Amino acid sequence: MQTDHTAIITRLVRVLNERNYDLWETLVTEDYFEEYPQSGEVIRGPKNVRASVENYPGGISKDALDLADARVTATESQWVRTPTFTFVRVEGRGNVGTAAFKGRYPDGTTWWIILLYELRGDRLAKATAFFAPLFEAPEWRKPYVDSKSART
Amino acid sequence: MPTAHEVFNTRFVKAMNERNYDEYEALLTDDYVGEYPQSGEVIRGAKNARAIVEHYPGGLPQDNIDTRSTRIAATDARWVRTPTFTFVRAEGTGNVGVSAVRARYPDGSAWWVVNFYELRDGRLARSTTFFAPAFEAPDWRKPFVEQREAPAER
Repeated sequence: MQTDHTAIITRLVRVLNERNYDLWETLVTEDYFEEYPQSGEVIRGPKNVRASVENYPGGISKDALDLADARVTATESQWVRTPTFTFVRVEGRGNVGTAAFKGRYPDGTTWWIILLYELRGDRLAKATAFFAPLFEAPEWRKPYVDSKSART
Repeated sequence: MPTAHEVFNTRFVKAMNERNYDEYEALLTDDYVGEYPQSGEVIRGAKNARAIVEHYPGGLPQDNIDTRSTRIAATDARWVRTPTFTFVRAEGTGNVGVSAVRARYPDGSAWWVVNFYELRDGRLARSTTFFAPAFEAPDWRKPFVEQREAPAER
């Protein structure tokens, strides 16, 4: 049976965008494990992961996460690109996947959020999260690259 | 027996750490396309990709990628964690994978480099790369988290 990673990730993002923390807590397993390699932080269990989003200074903005150009891949995945490479659909049978989507923070900055995750059933069991800020393309690299309008 | 993803990533990191740009270029397909979603840059072709690593201001340090912290996920992947969660083994039969490595830059800063990639015949054909800086854990989150390693080690 196929695991619909796109549907699961889309639901997680929608629940966060609606700031529905009661529902958010039910979408992760009781022994949920999340780590932030950039800071060395480890979050264990639904209560702590709920607290980490609910207590974000300034509050998480409504509709903070942007799925318009999300990327998801998973085990036995197929990547299907639109002509503009704006969305990657995935169908995987396994429980391991990765997702990348843009998030807007209370201070107005936009970051890419990258998740390497494991599912158990249709709930998130483990995640490794990375947070990558937008940046200006440096001058020295311009001779070698094309430019897309990604800084939105 | 190592998988195609392990073989590729091991060669790729070795070429970078040894600043062996001939080998680096040979690991990319001629029509390689790389993109940096954070800046909107798109790199086309192995020559341009080589030029970017070769011309990095200040020069990329030797052994700038920390292989102990590498994470790889690939199609048909299984993640096997060591007790310290420093390495994730991948087994993949498909051509799509994700790697995350910690790298040190000429200014001394440490960044995680996360790469969504596609292989074609053992060479990198397409990649989408994210650069995530190390940061201090904020005070407000401390009641809810454990701290894994000393900031100095990041």
